[in-house]
Amino acid sequence: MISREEYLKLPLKERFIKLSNEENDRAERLFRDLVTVDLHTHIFGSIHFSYDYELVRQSGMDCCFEAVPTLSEDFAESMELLGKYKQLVAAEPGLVSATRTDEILQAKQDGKQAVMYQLEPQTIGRKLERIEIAYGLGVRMMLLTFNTKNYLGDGCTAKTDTGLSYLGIEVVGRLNDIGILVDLSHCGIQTTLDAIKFSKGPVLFNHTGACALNPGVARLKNDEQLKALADKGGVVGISAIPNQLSSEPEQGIEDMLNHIDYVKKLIGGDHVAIGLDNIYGDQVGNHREMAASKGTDFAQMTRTFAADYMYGIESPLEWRNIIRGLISRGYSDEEIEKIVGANALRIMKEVVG
Amino acid sequence: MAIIPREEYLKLSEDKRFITLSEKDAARAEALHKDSLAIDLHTHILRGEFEENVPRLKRAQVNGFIEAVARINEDFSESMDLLGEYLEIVERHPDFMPAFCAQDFVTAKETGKQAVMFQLEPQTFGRKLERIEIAYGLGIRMALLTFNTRTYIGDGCGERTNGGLSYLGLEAVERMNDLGMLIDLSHCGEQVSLDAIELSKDPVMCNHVGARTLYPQCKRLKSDEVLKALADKGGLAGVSAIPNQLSGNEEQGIEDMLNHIDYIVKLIGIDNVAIGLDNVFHDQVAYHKQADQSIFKLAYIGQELNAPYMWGIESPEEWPNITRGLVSRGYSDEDIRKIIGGNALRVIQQVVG
Repeated sequence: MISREEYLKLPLKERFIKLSNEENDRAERLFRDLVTVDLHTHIFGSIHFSYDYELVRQSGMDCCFEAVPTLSEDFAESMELLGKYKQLVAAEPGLVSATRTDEILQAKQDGKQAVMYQLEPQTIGRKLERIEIAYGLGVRMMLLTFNTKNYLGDGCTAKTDTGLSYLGIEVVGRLNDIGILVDLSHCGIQTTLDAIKFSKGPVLFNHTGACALNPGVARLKNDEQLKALADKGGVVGISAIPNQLSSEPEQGIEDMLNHIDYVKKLIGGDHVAIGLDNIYGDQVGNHREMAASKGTDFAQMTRTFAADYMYGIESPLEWRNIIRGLISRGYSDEEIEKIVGANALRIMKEVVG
Repeated sequence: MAIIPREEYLKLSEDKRFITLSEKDAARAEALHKDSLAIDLHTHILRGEFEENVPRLKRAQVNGFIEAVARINEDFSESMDLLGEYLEIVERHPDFMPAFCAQDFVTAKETGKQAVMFQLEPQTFGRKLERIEIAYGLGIRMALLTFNTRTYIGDGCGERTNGGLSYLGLEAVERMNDLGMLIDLSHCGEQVSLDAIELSKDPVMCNHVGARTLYPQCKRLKSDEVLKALADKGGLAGVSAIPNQLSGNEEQGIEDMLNHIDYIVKLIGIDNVAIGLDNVFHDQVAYHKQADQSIFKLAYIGQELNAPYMWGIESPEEWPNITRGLVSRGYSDEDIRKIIGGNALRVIQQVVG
């Protein structure tokens, strides 16, 4: 296996899944025509700020839900970061900040890329009124907990697995009422099940995978959670996070496709979407740094670093490889349309408007 | 006896409010109270108009108070501002002095002053354990781990779940042990209480509680299991005088408090019982009605508002009535000294120094 650096020097053609000429044309057509949505991105970096507009532009995706990562859960900090992101988006003619579904469709028509914003995790502390503020400033999705415990519930690697707190139930109700999507990607099992139960509308896991395929990883969702989500009309964004989807030394787009296949089979094609996560940068490098940090958020993550990168889905430039992969796995145009964007747009339309 | 309004009750002379004793017993109680070092482990004497309370505090003849710096919004800087205000009041007043160690209480007794030590109710560390250092540096010597609902550290007694300490909670307990900051579990959930007792190297306390067995409806009170575990570690149960938390009767008072003292002494021994009256310097029931409008619903902890006040232990000048009550219940001089201050001083000496 070659190093990540060498890998990124390979021509894209060599990183892509091989297709016949006819399939190749089909993939290009679909990528051009379909509205593609990435439900979880860090185009401005995750643990460190970094931004390369060319990567965003060349990715070709039409809309991304950018995560404002504030692991300190400090509200003011998260709002300032959001402000910075919106400023950067405003400065780039090819990008537009969006708060409604029709703005995404308009952006596609105008040849622009739409950026929506989520808090990862939410930073409202004990103050429900902060939901109003965050909404007013453009936040349209919130992750309820990161990996550890907070006022609302337990994270997926918390010492305990309790459900939502009373405050957590109130928060879910308020997010429902105001039209902010509830994301449960990093939440613990019981917190996830409670949030699905107490939410009036559909919720999502915007960057995850199926625990059944890699049972050692607490961040992934088990069948019970996936089914409960689908019963409520929710959507699962499949991520491209190395060393979470698989623990093998070589990982890549095929692992992502395995998770898509599995989740689709379990809960149906209407509930599968894409949420790549930290693909704008060296994910494993970031993970190593996080694992070495002192904070409790990562200390309990049993994380092995079997692979250094994801073959075929390591760079934003490889976004179209997802469509190629879905074609290679025999998905129909209609199914692909749903997975790469329509399912995400449906839940956004229903909850956010 | 018919229930008279609180206002009228407070106009009654003390002999009408106090427990009836024979002349000999009354003289014994008076001498014993004057001679003993008395400590109230949980007070709110600085909330409101302190100057107005001073004459009543002097008649309480209590040498040491542990005053709660209570910011239930858990905002750290607000709690430190409040501590600053309180310290200034105590330092400026010729008859009071701040306490930072056990010896300060002894000095207060010797010099005829009243000493005030400070606790956080609840802790306001959020996710930043370095705040424990800051709080200690500014004079805090005890912290309540959780209030009634969930925090980053664990579940409160009124929370819908009963999860134990989080990883962050384990770290917080360890850091408090290292620094010599007392751990209070009065409002913590059952499992958080058990976890903290087990994990703490030092004795811990529930400084304003009662026995759950005597009033199972009130989740704020401590189970036999918690009380026993607490005592096994050398800790203390401070019995409170909070109306509608010790019983559900329409008339409540000093006898309810004595019932809880009797029960806990029998269960865990004379060396592990102390006094922590809580909000006795104000109209507590009015306060609880107000609190019910906040996110701390009384229903969470199973509290009703049956009695309007506590007969015989509603106001600070009735503190000597505790000693009278203990005499009436047949306690020896030595045992009474332990309950009204000796045990508290021992644990403070052991943990804080």
